[in-house]
Amino acid sequence: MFKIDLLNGAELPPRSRPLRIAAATLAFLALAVAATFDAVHVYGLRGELASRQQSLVSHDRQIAGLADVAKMLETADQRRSEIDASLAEVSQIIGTHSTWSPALVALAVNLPKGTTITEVLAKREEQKNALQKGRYDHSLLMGVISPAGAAAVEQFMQALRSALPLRPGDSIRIISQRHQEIEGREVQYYVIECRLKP
Amino acid sequence: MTVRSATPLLVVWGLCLAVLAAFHLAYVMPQERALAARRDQIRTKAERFDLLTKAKSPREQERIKTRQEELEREYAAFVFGSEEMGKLDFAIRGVAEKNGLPDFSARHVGTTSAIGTTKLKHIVQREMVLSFTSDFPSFLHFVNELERLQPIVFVNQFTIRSAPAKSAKLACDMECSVLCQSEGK
Repeated sequence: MFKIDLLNGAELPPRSRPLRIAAATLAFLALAVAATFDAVHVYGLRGELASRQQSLVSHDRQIAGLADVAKMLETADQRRSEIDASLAEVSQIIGTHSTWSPALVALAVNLPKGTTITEVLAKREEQKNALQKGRYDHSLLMGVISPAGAAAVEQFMQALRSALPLRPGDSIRIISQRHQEIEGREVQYYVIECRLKP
Repeated sequence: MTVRSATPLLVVWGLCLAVLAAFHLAYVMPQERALAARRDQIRTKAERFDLLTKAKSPREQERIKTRQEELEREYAAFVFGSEEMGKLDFAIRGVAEKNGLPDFSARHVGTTSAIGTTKLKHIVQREMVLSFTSDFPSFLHFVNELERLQPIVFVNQFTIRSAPAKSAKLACDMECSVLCQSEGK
């Protein structure tokens, strides 16, 4: 088959490409749809923003009308925070103290007849160990004379082991003893130490 | 339509897409974020309004007042206010007189505002030394009553020893502390 072209291809009408035209149209149509969607969305957003702004102003007005209640609540909250913080410190401080009256009652109740406590030193000392700073040891040192002999003192210490809230371990011990003359009588004088639970 | 003739169309389409994307990123998305933030604000305000409306009711006011009073009572059981502090010496002297300690004396020796290395911000411990002579039962009652006083009085340490004179009395020295509100508070 021969093709006769006397104009050497210069004036041939372009061939129609319907698929390409459809693709280009669809691409631009998609853009147009997206742009329309965004525009509608923006319109809606602006409307909602304006209505929310009104609502916010209305809430602000209502809250301003309750300013006295707000002030009262704020004052109460502030005081509550202060008291809570103070009570937290109080709780820390209480943990460093001990009550002595139960220990004194235990001494009085368990003291054998004929034995006398001549002096009592109740001590509260901060623990020396750097890691234990802020923790306190409580101990009782007492001078005891027992004309009835060592057995009475031993009995007294045994009774105190169950009566006092002692720390675990060797918490009740004689730290010194010596002969002493009291009112012309030779008696044995003991110094007993009790280390109490914190 | 050749590739050469389609190129300008592609460029125009690309430009349009870029403009649309830029509009979405620069305008639509910030508006959406602003709306979300506004919704949150309104929810917060609505909750605050509900809270205030509820707090305005006499019943709720009564509840808040009662809770506040309970808290103040709990605080006052431990901590001396400036008014109670003025009465402390009289209160302790009252306990001493009740237990028959006529030669009772007391002096304030200072304050502590730390536990170990922990500095206290709200509370200080005011310390005092008490001296008196007493028999053992009176001493025991005195310590017990001090420890039950409100606001609380801590007996830190004490010494009791036979009085030098020939008597049944014991010489007692006692270190106590009470809790007070820190000056700055």
